[in-house]
Amino acid sequence: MDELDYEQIVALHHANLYRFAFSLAGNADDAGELTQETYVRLLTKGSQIRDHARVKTWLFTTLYRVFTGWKRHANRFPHLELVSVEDELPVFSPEMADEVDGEAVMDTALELEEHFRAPLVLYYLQSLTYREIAEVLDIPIGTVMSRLSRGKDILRQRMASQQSAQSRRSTGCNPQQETFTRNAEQSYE
Amino acid sequence: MNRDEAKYLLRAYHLGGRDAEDPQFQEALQLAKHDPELEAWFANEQAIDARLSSKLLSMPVPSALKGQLLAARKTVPRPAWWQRRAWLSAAACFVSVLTLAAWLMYSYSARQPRFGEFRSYVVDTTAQLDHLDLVSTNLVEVRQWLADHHAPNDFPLPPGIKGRPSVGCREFNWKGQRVSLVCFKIDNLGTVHLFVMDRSILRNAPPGAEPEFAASNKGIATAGWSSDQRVYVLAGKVDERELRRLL
Repeated sequence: MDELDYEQIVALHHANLYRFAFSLAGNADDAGELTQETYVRLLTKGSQIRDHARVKTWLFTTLYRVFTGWKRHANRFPHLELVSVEDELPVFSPEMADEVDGEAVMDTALELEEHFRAPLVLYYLQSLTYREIAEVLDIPIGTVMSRLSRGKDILRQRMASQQSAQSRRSTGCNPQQETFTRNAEQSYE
Repeated sequence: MNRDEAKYLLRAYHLGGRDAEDPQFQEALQLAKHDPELEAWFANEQAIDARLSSKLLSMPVPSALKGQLLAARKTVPRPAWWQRRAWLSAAACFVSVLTLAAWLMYSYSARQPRFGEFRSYVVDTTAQLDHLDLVSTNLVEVRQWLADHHAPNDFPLPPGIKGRPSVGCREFNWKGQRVSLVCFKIDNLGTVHLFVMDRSILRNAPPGAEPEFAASNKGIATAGWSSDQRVYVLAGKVDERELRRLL
């Protein structure tokens, strides 16, 4: 791999790799270390990549494998407090999405179980299509779709709940009850 | 496809449009075009997702990270060119190919039959010959029959046999090679048998047209020679002197 290639690959992908790493590890130090380890492997094994168009998928796959390897061997990553979905929640709208910042989105994503969180973050980073997400996470395409669908529901519900709670705190009164319609027949797996 | 199925698929649709040509989504996208409620749902879905994506993409990355990653080029030991996997694989492959080639050459050579084995086969066959596949005095017919059975057929005859009437022919298979046998009636000598085969499978076929004679304990003498890509053995219950007169 020549220097120009490596520089380009760092410039193009390091930010989203870091964000993905953060969504897995839950903290900046581990996310940085995961990202660095991924690029070290690129330097030592990058010659394996025959097709340069596959570099991005290779990087995300490698990062995910490093993460699962560390997790398996060293109980390294703290258990994240998972929150269950409430039954009645306000509908999450584009306007509500405008009100939140990136950190809030990531914090809420971290409340999701990893098997929903990983594909959802990859989807929102827009680096990969659903097929590429399936490849990175080594799961069937159908499972990606199922987890994206469910993951989005949970994320939005959580964000709507947080915004609703914030609104109650700021106004000091009970908000109008809103109904949340869920498709009871939707299957997720 | 119904509306719920379309929604389920479209939730995975890439925000940047990279899935536009993916056949997985075509039917759902078409349905949305003709279903106002589905279209409105999809527009809302994409609007929410685009905003959430934008927020996530704005999440700050440690400013020192890029520099650290670029610096790794200088500190991470790179494998020497001969240690790189591609070179190691190529070297291993080369050694394997050489080893295999050597083994194949040795084993092929070891397995290749010798001319002596073929000559012995000719003697045994002559001694046990009890019938012919085609009985004919017409050599043209004999050659055609051999051709039809994919056996050597267009070979020249030794000078002493040319013009003699054929008795007939037979086709054999010896170690995977087709062998032609044409029998000729020779005055005062009885029947002589000309065996013809492709010489390529023999390890030590006679080098040229100069015949090599051999007698056997079955009273059958043979003369063997090569010409072009074929090996010939003329056999008969005659002695060497009489065989020589036919060649």
